[in-house]
Amino acid sequence: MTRKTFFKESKELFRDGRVRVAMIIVVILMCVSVWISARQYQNINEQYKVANTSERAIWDNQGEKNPHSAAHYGTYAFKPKYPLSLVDQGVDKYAGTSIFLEAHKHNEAQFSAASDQTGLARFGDLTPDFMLLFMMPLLIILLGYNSFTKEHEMGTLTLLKSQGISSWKWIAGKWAALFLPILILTTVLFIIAGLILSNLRDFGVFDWNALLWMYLVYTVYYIIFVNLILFISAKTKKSGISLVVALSLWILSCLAIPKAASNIAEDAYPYPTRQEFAANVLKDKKQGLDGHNPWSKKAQRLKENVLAEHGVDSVHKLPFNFDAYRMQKGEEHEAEIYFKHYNYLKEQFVKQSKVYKGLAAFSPYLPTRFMSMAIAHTDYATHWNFADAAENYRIATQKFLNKNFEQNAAYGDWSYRADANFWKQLPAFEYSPPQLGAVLSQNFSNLGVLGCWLVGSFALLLFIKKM
Amino acid sequence: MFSYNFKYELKLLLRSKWIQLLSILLLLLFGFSTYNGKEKVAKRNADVVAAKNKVKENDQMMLQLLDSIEKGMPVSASRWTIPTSPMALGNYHPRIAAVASQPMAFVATGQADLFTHYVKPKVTGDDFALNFTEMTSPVQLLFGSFDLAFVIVYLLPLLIIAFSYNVLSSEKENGSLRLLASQPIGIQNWVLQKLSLRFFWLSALVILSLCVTFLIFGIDWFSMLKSFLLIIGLIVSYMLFWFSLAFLVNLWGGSSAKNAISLLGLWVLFVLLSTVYAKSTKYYAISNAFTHPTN
Amino acid sequence: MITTQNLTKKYNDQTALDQLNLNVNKGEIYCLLGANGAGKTTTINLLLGFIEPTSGSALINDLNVSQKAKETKKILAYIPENLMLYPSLTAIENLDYFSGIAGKKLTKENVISFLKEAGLQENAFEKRITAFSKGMRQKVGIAIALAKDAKVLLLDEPTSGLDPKASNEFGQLLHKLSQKGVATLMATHDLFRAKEVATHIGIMKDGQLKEECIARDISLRDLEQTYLSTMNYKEVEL
Repeated sequence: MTRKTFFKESKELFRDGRVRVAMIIVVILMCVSVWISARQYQNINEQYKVANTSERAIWDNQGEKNPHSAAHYGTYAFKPKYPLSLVDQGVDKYAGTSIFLEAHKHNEAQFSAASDQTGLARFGDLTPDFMLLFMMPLLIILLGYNSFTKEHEMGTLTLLKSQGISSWKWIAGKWAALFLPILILTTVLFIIAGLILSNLRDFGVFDWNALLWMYLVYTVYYIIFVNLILFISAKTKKSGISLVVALSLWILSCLAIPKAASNIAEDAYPYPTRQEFAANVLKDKKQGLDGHNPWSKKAQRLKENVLAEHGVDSVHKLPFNFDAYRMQKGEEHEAEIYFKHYNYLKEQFVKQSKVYKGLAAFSPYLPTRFMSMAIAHTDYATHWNFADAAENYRIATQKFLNKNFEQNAAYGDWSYRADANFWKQLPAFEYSPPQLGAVLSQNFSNLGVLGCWLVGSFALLLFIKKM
Repeated sequence: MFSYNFKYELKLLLRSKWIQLLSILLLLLFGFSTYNGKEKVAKRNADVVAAKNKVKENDQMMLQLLDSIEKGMPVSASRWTIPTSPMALGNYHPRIAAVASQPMAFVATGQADLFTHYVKPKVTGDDFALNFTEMTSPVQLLFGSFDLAFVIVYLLPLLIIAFSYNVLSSEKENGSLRLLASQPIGIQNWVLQKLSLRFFWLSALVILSLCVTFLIFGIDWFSMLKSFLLIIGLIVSYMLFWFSLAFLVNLWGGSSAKNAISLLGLWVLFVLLSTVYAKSTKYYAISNAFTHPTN
Repeated sequence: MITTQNLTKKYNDQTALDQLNLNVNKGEIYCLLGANGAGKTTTINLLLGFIEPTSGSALINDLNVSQKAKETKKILAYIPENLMLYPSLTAIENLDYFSGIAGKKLTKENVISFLKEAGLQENAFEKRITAFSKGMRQKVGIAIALAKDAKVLLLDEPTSGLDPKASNEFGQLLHKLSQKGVATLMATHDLFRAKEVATHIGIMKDGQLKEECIARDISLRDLEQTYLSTMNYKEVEL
């Protein structure tokens, strides 16, 4: 009986002109979005490559220079793009793309794409994630809103009942007929994406596993919607009301709640302004991490300790350049100060995430979005990860430079210049994002919420049974 | 025909609870979004005020420092930061340059969450022409803000669609179209009148809800009458656009379901995908017109 | 009053109506009988101007329906098979609205008097249509026709779904109207009611008018026989 219902429903859908038109439009839009996204991905990756090589060339060709000058001259760490960002662009547009690594400062990533664009960019792009997150649920609504209400309105419900039908099989047939076209569309999209990505040479490591997980996340998202739409259709008597309720649900989940959530999270756990942040850092630099122990005092004690350790009474007698040594220690001290303040930002974000997770109980869009971004390495956590890696590299670079100065220059000799080939010895900045396993376990709560939605929406279907 | 349509349309709308439902919905949406907008603006202003106060405090300390120096006392500040030198003053005691929020800034966040609202320009360094973004969570930027502009640009057309998609098709499906069509009236004219009346009532409700919301949140729209009227004008013309689309779709003569889907498709095209064609659209203009100084 | 001249309607290669010639004069009640798809509803739709004829013409009061749509609609009244009014309005409000948009301004007393004339019970005047039976809705339809002072009445299966009392009341109303000079064309399956109220009867098959007779000259039984033989149907002896 399930099969019969499935075939009948599918036939009805197929023969419906509006359904055909809608599906064709969705397919076209999907193709366009994948094409645009693939082009953009290649474009940005080329830029990344070029930027990386040219910046490294600039660093290598500094010529003879005092290492501390080089430290102030600085270099850049560029944020790479990963293959799955083709499917979900996440926050990449809003997060900075490069970090300036210099002495005494821990900078934030700058030059996000959005800051270079007009207000129009904030409205939304035709990207695969837009299609997957917004359009597919809309398509589900279109195909399924009158699944049960049409039986009421056509009067066929009474006839069916008098034939003695098994509710379960009937519902299953309808469910399958609604879900199958969605499943086919999604599968095709992901296969195409996979093929494109595996054919792009040496641009990031492409992991079919990650693609699979993404595919699973979206499939679950659609199953949830199918369940909800069928439930709405079964509970309302008229098609018009069913459509309006289903659409309200879509707007609420995908537009209203995320926006409201961002407002609430921002209100409850605000970030400091840029100036405030800079001022706080400055204050700590002056007064020391704990407010009582300014660097000047620490430096004094450091000098005394080192002198005592080497058993000499003057820094001139030390076997290494004390200025460099002290600069390095100073650098580490400043890094700690910055770490404290950036950590505060992280903590605020963790608290903001809790707000999002709380509101995920009202919107299946939220956990899906976060999971999708996490797997595609386009979420905020990956950005933090990259920023941390860049900072570690910066500290290592300072150590590299200061060590050279320390060991090769006499105390007080600020005219020391490092050899022109010295710079090439600095290892390149390498960054690889967390592995899929780590991502999944980090996002366990999101997966959990998604699972609850899945189970809960199936439970709702149980209520349809009593008709 | 018009006076009869006027009288009975109002009766129908009241009895089918449309007017009541729309009023509540509009008040809720406008209320929540205005609250959000106000909070954001208030926070921005508070930040600027706090920063300015800090500068005042610093200035006091600087004056004390100068005083000590004049009196010849030893000071612990680094040589290059002593404020007797104008360059030192310019570098270590910068002033605040801030963008003031326009009175209507709460209506649309626009780009305001992306960029910073005040900077402390120093004499050397920091080229603000290059980068002046604010420190925010990019997730917040990604999701955007639930502000009044969002409600008007995204949600209001949906209300209009729900309110107007089946004016003709419901008569057909209800069965009363046969009787109507046998009267000496032009059906197109009849649809036009009904939709115009709905446009009129919805506009009235929108304007009323806006006024009430502003009143509740203590926004003195009377003092910024010109901006307020401009916003009302923009909203009403935007609503007129959507009602016109609904009129055309109604005339097309499809079933209620078909009309709903056509109008929804148009909504997706115009509102969600508006950036696909890079021309400057009316909707972008609406959003930016509210807040152009904060860009 | 109601005239068709070689009225023909074709849909691609299917002929819905083939050279129909009929005439209904003032005060006459013409019942059109025929199977589903015989062309009865098509005829009425053509007379209403809802569809355009392929050839021939439909005339109401000597006005060509295709050319003078508004004028013809001013003088005719139509009650469809399933008359639906506005459910959230009362009987009085429905009558007021439909008359008003047709250009007839009525006072409340007028409205009430028309509803009374149509036979609707008084306690239903201020009730909303959602509670009305089909018979009651028919009466409001008649009231609309009365208020319009229509000269021509077009009816599509008016007695289907009515109980015998309501059907009888409806017949009485038709009779009253015909005495006022209204020309009525009624498409129906109801042989009994047709015999009761009609002055003239026509039997249609496959878009053609096969038989015409004068109602009082034929018995009900003979009418049935004529009908069945027109349909080439032989009764089986039970």
